[in-house]
Amino acid sequence: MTMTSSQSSHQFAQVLQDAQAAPEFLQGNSAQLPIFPLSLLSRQTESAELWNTYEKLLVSCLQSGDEKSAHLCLERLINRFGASNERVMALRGVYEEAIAKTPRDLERILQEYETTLAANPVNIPVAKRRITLLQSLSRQADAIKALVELLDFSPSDAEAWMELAELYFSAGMYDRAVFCLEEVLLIAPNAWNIHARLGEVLYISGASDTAKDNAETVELLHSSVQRFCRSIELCDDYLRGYYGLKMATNALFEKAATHTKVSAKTIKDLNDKASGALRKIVDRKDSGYNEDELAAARRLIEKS
Amino acid sequence: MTFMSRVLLITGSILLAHACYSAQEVSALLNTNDSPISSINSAETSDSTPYPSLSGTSTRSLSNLPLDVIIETLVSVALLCLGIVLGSEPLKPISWRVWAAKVEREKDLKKDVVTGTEDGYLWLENGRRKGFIDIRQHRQDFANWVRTQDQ
Repeated sequence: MTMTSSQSSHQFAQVLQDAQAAPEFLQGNSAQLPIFPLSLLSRQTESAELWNTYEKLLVSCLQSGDEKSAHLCLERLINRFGASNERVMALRGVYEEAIAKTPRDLERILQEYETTLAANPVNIPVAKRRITLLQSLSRQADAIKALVELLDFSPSDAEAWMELAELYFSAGMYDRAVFCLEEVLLIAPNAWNIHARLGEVLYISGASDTAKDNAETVELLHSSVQRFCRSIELCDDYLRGYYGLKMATNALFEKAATHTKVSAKTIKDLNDKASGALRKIVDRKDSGYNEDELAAARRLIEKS
Repeated sequence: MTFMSRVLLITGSILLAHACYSAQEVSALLNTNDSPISSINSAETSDSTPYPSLSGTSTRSLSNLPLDVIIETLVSVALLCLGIVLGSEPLKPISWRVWAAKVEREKDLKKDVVTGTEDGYLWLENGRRKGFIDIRQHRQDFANWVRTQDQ
């Protein structure tokens, strides 16, 4: 799964809307917030939300190409928190990466990140920027190495584990990706989408194995079914979970069912349940599901 | 629902105000009618109990309050309660799976940039991890999207 497919047209529309609202927002909020005694009289109060909004606007403006507003956002963040704030440093990095024209500019930014990290190796936001830039420069092996080092001293960072899982996944190292996803689930045990993702990775690693009757493959598909079941348990009418359950049980049918710990009947029941739920979701009007996902579900039902 | 609740609230307030006014009038009437007796009563009991006049008048006026005023008060309070309950915000889901379904349903809805926060665990998904945002890829995707919109 690439970045392209993960962003829906809804999200692009959202970015465009945010970016269009930016100039007005920047004008409405003055650059200089009133200092203490005056701030009691002023209507404009400082809140964490305000700075979160600046951060979000900065990214939206950069994405839509409104560099002037983005620069203004960044300037205000620097004025407020100082250029040496770790989070602000990372945001400045995002800005510079976005306006970089040539590969040489990117190399220079990478050098800057490395100097920063040499001075302070636990600057996590900048370390993440460096990893992202390495990926962007197609240096996946370096990115994985840096990410593993990052996780060594910050092992409770779900975001980093998730990123590492996707890196391993795109490199085809499925067992390592599964390990990383399990680490994410230790931190966020009720995350239904991570359960579904783990199910997908297990399914793909099981289905990519062409040897039939392989006990190990059947084992992988079994775990995949379990993960999808858990995701459905955690989220009502979860299209992604039911879709995966249907696919995984279908695959278990194809691979001989003789090895299964679970009886063939249970698998059959699960498959029927997934079909029923998918049909119900597809038939529903104005359900709020993604159109592409609905179309895929429709195709899957028709095939069976 | 909001219209209904507003009607109930207004009716309830009017009824309550009317009941209060009636009760006040009734007690005023009683006080003028049998003021000599009540003053004698309070004078008699004042020796035995510390708050004679208070307890004496309150029990007397309550028992003398006409039944329709009491009913009016109770009905108006009930109407006010109903109006407040009906006019309140819809309840938030307290069951995890219902809440999760709501988050999934609303993830693609347009959000206000100032208040729109990402709920649940969506921020862990591909392309949504803020710390690892690949801004150059995002810019390119956005440009491609704009091109398809123009066609």
